[in-house]
Amino acid sequence: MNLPVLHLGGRHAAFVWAAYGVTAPVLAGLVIESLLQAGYWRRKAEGRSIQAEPDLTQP
Amino acid sequence: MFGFLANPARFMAVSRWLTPILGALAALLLTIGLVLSFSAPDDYQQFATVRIMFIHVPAAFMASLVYVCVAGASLIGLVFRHSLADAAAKAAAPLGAAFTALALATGSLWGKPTWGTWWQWDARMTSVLVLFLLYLGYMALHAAIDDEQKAARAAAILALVGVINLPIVKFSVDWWNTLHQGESLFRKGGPAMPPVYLWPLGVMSFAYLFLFGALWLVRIRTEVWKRRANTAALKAAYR
Repeated sequence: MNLPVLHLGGRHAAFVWAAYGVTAPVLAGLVIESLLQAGYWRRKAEGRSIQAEPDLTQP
Repeated sequence: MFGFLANPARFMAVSRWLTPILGALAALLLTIGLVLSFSAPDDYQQFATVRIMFIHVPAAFMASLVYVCVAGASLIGLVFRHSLADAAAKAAAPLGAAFTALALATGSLWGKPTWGTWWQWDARMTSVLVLFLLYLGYMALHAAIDDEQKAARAAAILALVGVINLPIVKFSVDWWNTLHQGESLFRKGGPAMPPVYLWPLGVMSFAYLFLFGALWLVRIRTEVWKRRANTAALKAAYR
C-alpha cells in the first residue's frame, strides 16, 4: 500500500505531522486517564466493601 | 432505553460488556482510518494538509455532539433529579473539552498553510472557542461547589444555557460570510468531496464516535464507583 505522506518532505508535511502529533497524545491521554481513574475508584469502592447498592435514583 | 439504564445496577451490568466492544471497534476503526488517511493522495489545492481534515472534522463533529450529550443528560438530571444522569453529564464534559481543543488546534494547523493565518475571529472559529469555554465553565462550576447535587444543578443550568451556541456553531458558515468554508458534507447535491477522501473521513468519524462511547461509559462507571466509595465512607463514619 502506498503511504505517500510517510515519504513526504514537502513544505506542508510539518503541519500534517504536528496535527497528528497533537491528536495522538490527547486521545491516548484520555484513554489512560479514564482507565486509571476507573481502576482507582473501583478499588476504593470495593475496598470499602459496600454490601448494598446505593440508591442513585433518589436525589 | 433511558428508563432501562436508569437503574445503576443495570447500567453497570450493560456497560461492563458494552465498553470493551466499543473500545475494540474504536481501535480497529482508528487503525483502518489512519491507513486510509496516509494512503490518500494529496489534494490539488490543499496538498498534504488534506490529511488534517481526517482528524479535524471528526473532532469538530464530536465537540458539538458531546455537548448535546452533556445538555441532554443535564436536562434529564434537572427534571427527574436523577443522579445517574448528572454523572453522565459530568463524565462527558472533559471528553467534549478535549475534542473541542483538538478541533481548534488541528484547525489552526490546517489554516496556517491554507489560509495563511493560525486564527481568525470569524463566526465559526469564535463560536467553537465559545463552546470550549462553555465546557471549561461547566467543569469549573461543577468542581467549585462541594455539594454534589447543588453542583450538578448549577452546572446543568449552565449547560442548558450554552445550548444556544450549538446552532451558531452549525449554521455560522451559512449565516455569516466566514473565512471558514461552508458545509461540504451534509449538503444538497451530496458531499463536495471525492470518495478517496470521504472514506478516511467517514471511518475516522466513526472511530471518534466509538471512542467517545467507550470512554463515556468508563467515566460514568467511575462516577458510580466514586459515589459508592463516598457512601461507604459516610456509613463507616457514622458507625
